[in-house]
Amino acid sequence: MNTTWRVVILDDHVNSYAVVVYLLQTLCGMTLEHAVRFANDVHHRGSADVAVFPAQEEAERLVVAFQRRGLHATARRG
Amino acid sequence: MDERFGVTEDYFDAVLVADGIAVRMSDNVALILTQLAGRLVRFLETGEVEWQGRRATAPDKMLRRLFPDAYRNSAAARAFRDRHAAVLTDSNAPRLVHARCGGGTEHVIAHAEVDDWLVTLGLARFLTTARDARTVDMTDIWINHMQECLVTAVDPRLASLPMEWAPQPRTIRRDG
Repeated sequence: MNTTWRVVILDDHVNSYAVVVYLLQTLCGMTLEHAVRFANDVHHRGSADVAVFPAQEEAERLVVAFQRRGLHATARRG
Repeated sequence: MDERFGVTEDYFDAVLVADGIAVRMSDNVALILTQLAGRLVRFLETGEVEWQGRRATAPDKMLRRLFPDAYRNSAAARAFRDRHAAVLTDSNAPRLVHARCGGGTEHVIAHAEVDDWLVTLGLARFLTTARDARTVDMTDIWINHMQECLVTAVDPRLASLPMEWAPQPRTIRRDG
């Protein structure tokens, strides 16, 4: 059975908008427009799926990168 | 002027230059940043959480604050932290910032080094602030300012983003 692993960013009260947009661009390779849209999703919905990977290991690598820079990132199956 | 409203001379600026990002800060900001980076290095390398003779938070709680649960299942979250401990607690970035700020107040840093500063600032914040904090202290405000200066120096478009995401109003903690 094929499964995927999503990387989810959770909203917080400390990280600023510009920094989240910047990190989405640099860590996920998003364009500015996409990064802005996802950052707004995080804020308004409380979380946003920012990447999907076939392997858990790849998803966790991105989670680590976000957490190292102060964001609360999680990995979820499916 | 009333002494209670004395004007601070502290500053932190970053601007794009030909060979990187020029950063300048006041002596006091350099001192605070050096202390924060040093405190982060000690925690990442030894788990030490004492600061100025006070132990505010247990080491395992501090670790979860810096690196929150990556999975809803707590056992899976612990396993994640164990699996990636070497990368999560790599202290090279705060070591570099500690050396920079301890050595002066004006620097030209390479684009790649900006990331070391973002790692340091992004983690150092949680040495003093809980993730669910509803209050903000001056350290938080300065960390946000420094982060925003750096990212907008790298990508000036970020300075003119529509502020759809307005910060939540929070109480300023005076004892921070």
